[in-house]
Amino acid sequence: VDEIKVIESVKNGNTNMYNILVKSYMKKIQNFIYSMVNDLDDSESLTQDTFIKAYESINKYENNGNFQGYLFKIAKNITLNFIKKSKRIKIFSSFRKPIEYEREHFTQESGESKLIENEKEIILRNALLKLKEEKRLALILKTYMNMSYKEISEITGWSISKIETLISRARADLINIIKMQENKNKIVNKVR
Amino acid sequence: MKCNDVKALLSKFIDNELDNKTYNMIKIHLKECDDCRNHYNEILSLNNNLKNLKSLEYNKKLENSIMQKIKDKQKKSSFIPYLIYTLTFIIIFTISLVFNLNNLNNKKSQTKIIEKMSILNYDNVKLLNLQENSFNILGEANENK
Repeated sequence: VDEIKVIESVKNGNTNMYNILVKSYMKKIQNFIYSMVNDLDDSESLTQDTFIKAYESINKYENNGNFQGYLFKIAKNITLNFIKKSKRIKIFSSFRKPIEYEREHFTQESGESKLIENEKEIILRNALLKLKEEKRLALILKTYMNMSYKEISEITGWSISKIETLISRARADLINIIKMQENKNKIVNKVR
Repeated sequence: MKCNDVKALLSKFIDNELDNKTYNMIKIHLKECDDCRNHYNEILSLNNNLKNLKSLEYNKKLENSIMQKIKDKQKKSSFIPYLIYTLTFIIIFTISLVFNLNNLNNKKSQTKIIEKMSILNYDNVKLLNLQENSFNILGEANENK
């Protein structure tokens, strides 16, 4: 189906056509948000907010073939606002420790190395959460969402050089955080 | 190229955001320098882990809930203009009613005032007549003396 025609039809008031857009982008948007907040319920409600907001302001979107960018812009704003608010009431990262996540919601792979993979994944997701939001956002858009610096710049409004710096520092920080975490785990295992 | 310069560019190197010349220079340096190559492998492995983060499965319930919310909103938004029209009509109607009543009251009180004033006038005339009479009586009395 031609996406531009679908969007044109939604703009003309055909609500049902919006379902096509939700179907094609919802998973990507939710995974992006989940990687930012690391909580399933929050990722669901923020994804919902994103698609409702995108629908409400669809007339502001110039139908230029980059609906994904438009969605990501909204998702980014909603997510960063949410993180700021959560920080203000100090529940983020102090009380909420997302060590175990809901495994059944993930696409499962079979194999012997599954357990090790899971542990690695938990360490990585927790480490991501310790990064400052801007670094986390830039790095996730680059690696997990596989975007170019230019695309990230369009979504965030940041300059390319700022994005370069953020991503480079995010990588260095992450490597340090993970090393520290792995050392801790080794000590814990030895004690056991 | 110095190691520090290379290390500073490794992130961009991995993201393929360098010009060809710089890219090739780093490539050559990595072949020769163990320290930089280790650094590079560390970032590369992190990058692969990030790319391979598991994804949440498609959530049909969430899709339904989004579409439901949007349809509800649309119903509301088509109901709201209707609501606004009726409300404005009611408001204008009451305002005009109150205004008219006020006017009516004003007219009533005006006529009352006019009546009172005419009564006063009448009294005044009476008083003046009385005064005149009394003067006349006094004058007559003086003349009689």
